[in-house]
Amino acid sequence: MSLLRVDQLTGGYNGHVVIDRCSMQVDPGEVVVIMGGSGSGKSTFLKHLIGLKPPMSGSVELNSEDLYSGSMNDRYRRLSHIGVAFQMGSLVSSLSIFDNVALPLRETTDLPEDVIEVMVRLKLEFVELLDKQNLLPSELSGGMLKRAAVARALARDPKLVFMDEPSAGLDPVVASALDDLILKIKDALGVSVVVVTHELESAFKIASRIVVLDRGFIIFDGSVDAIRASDNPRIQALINRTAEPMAFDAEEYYRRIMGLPEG
Amino acid sequence: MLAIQGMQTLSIFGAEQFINVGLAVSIPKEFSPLIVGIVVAGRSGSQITSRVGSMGLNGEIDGLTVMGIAPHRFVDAPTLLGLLVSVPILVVIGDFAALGLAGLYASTALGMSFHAFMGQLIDLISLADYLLGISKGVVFAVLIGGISLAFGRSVAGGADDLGRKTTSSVVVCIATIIAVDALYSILGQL
Repeated sequence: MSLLRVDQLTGGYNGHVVIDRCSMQVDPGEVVVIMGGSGSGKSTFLKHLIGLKPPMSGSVELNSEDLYSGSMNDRYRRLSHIGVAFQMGSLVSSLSIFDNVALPLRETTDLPEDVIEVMVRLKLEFVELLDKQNLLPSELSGGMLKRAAVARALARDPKLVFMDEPSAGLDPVVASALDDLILKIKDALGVSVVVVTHELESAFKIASRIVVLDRGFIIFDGSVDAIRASDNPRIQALINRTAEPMAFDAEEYYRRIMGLPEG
Repeated sequence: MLAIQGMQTLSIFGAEQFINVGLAVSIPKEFSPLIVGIVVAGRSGSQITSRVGSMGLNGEIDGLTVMGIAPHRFVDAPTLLGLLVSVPILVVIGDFAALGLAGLYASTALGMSFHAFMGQLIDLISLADYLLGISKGVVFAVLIGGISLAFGRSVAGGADDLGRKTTSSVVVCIATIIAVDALYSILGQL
């Protein structure tokens, strides 16, 4: 049974389509990397997957339940079975790291406080931040902040964790350590991970499967070997980091510069 | 201020001894809740808007949502509850502080003992007067909480919008408090 199934998802902002009829799924034990260049729709796609943005059409199923059907409380209940680590952490700035990791347990479970304390220490030890548990998020470095966000995402032992740009803004050594952490999450905890990134090196290191988004469409869904062997020029441009030459249309250029209407 | 201005005005008519009536009518029902409301709107309303706005900009609200924690339960409800408890208490403290200080000034100016003046003053105030002021405190708490939270949630774009919304929140809170207070007075006359 798939942990996540996306079917013909179309979404965007204010009627403007950013994601167009995208379908994919995540099975247990997989690390699925969603890749794409800037403006490809990765962040919008992720927002639809994690319950922050209802789609214009299509569906997102978590554990075979439609994420967006029913009331807001139904959505909160379904979301309590996943973990999300945001790019900037998104930790509650007024709470210590310990309390941030304990937050989902305190707010959405009936576990006694002593059990919560042990679970939080386990997660902080897992991401090697136990000695920083009393610090505030503002007192952590970028890499530590991302690890703390991972600890919070893992707090309730979810089967599926989403990570948004885990390597962004980090030096290569810390970024590599985070990649190792993602693999550790998969191997040691058996958790499936969906990683949104544009870091090629990181994607090739951690991915069981790569999904490539381009201009709102999924243009590739397959293994690391398959993407390397792909002859699609858009994918080759992405993995070889080459800019695609833009066709020059003199009339179109003149119209844009003069501010003339289309047509 | 009310005692000082009242004494000066009443001295024109040689009626300074009636200052206690003015104080009794004005402080618990009108000035204490109004000034407490304005101070809380300025101090706490701005803080609530900037905090909630910052939480939105930093992705903390999204972070709560994806954890299955309803932001209105985690952020809005405790804020409103805190205001509902604290504002009426501040109105009562405002009553004591304003009546005590006004009594101190007026009794000195009238050459009366403080205890005798306060005895007269408190006799003139009914329980209903105090309760009316406290009920205003409850209404102002809801207004401050609702307005400042709504402005905080509407912050989008960045620090520029955060500053603008915080200022707007305080202005709207204070204007609404004054308008609702005026409405109380008008309805009280009917």
